[in-house]
Amino acid sequence: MFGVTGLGRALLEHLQLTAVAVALASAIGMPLGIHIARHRFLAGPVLAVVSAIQTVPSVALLGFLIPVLGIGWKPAVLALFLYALLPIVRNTFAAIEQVDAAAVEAARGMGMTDAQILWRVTLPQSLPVLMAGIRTSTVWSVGVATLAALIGAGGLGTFIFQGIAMVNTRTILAGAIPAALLALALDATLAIAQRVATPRGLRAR
Amino acid sequence: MTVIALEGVGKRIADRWILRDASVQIGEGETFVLIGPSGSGKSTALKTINRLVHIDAGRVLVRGVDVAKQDDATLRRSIGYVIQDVGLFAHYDVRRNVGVVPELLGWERSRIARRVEELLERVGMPAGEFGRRHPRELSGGQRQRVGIARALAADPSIVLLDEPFSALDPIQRERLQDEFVAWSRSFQKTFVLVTHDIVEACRLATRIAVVDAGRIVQVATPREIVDAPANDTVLGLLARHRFQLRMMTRTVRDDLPTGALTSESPTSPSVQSAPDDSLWDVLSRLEREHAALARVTPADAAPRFASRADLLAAASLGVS
Repeated sequence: MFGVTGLGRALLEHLQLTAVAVALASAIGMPLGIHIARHRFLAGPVLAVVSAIQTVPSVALLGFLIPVLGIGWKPAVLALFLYALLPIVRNTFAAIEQVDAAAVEAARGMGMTDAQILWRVTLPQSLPVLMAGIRTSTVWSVGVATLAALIGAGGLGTFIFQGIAMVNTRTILAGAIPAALLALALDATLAIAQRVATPRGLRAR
Repeated sequence: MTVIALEGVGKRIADRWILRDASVQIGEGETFVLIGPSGSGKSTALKTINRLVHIDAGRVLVRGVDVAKQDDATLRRSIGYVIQDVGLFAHYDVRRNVGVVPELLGWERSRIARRVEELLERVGMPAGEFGRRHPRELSGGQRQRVGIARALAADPSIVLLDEPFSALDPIQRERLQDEFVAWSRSFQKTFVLVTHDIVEACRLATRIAVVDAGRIVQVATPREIVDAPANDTVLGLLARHRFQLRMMTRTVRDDLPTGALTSESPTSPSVQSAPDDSLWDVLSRLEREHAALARVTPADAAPRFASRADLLAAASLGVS
């Protein structure tokens, strides 16, 4: 009843949900992390809010969003985005905190502008830790995205919930195994990207 | 000619003045040293020059222009800056680190490459051997050599150094101090250096400003500081080093009464000194070479030889 094309479509939907959510979370989370690293008094409150979101059970969060955005793709992406935010904001903040303070002082003393310090010193030196946050967030999102099927957003969760409803282990596995493989594959890809993005002078030998 | 002037400079944090009414004039080609205990305000005073510290009273003139009226980045690119922890960029290799300021100034690549090679050569880190290494592949002393090359890269007429040698081990520190003396003579620049080490200050400085509790308490040559400390703070800085410092601030030419020295050629080994050498330099050389006498007159003049006792006596002359 679920052919290869059905599986392919579900995989694609799953990937799309994850990718859009992580991309959005990066687009918002990295600047937010940079901002709170520069304005330290904001770090506590912002991290508290982002962490609080994480404590809401994912099924409940999806439920909460139905009255607001209805069912389907949009609320699913929004929920995933909110979950993906924490690792990215926290790691960006930590990444910038661990940048060599002397390098930043030297950069300022040599006449770099704030933007030049950010792009030439702070961000390159933050990349390994920053990428680790995106990686965590991606793997996490692949897992949570299986629940998107509950609100009609498709993805590999469709098979899992069909299987549960029909008490059919093979159908459950038809969703669960590809989801697990997808998480592993994305993790490995991002691990390579992280290594490539790490400047040679910062790489562990 | 005065290139840097602090005029009644004050810096306040909340309602505490960490620097107040600081006035000094630093001349072209000087190696001007700011010394004082930690927390005295000496680093703050240094950083008012490149405006890393924004002042709350007075004004700072660099080459006659108020620094507050210049663009911060432009001002800083025209002034070299060296700090204790060096602050090399870990993700850049040595070449790129040294070329940072010329790159910011938009120099052509070939000109940057030439300049970087020239400077690395001068600080004893030839580009062929070290150019492609990354900072963590260097020792502390090597890093600070690169740090100094980086500060000199765009050929600034002024270089600020904030405790540049304090983090180094004693052997590296002495070696870099010696080389710094040679560089400061050959580069024809104005150096302003912060330290808490009086021996380093007397060794490097043309003039010293002693800073204590946010105030400049004495500005004088090393010799004047050693011979006539203005107050107990300055005296405290000299402390147990005072006799050594007397020897370091007295030269063969000016302070050794050669007329009274023996002219008989020694039978034991002797060493040669230059007129500019300090009495301390000569004494150190005697110790190093296991010699009893040092020839203190040039080869074309009548020979005069000084013993350890002569050197020690000369350092005590005029001291009550």
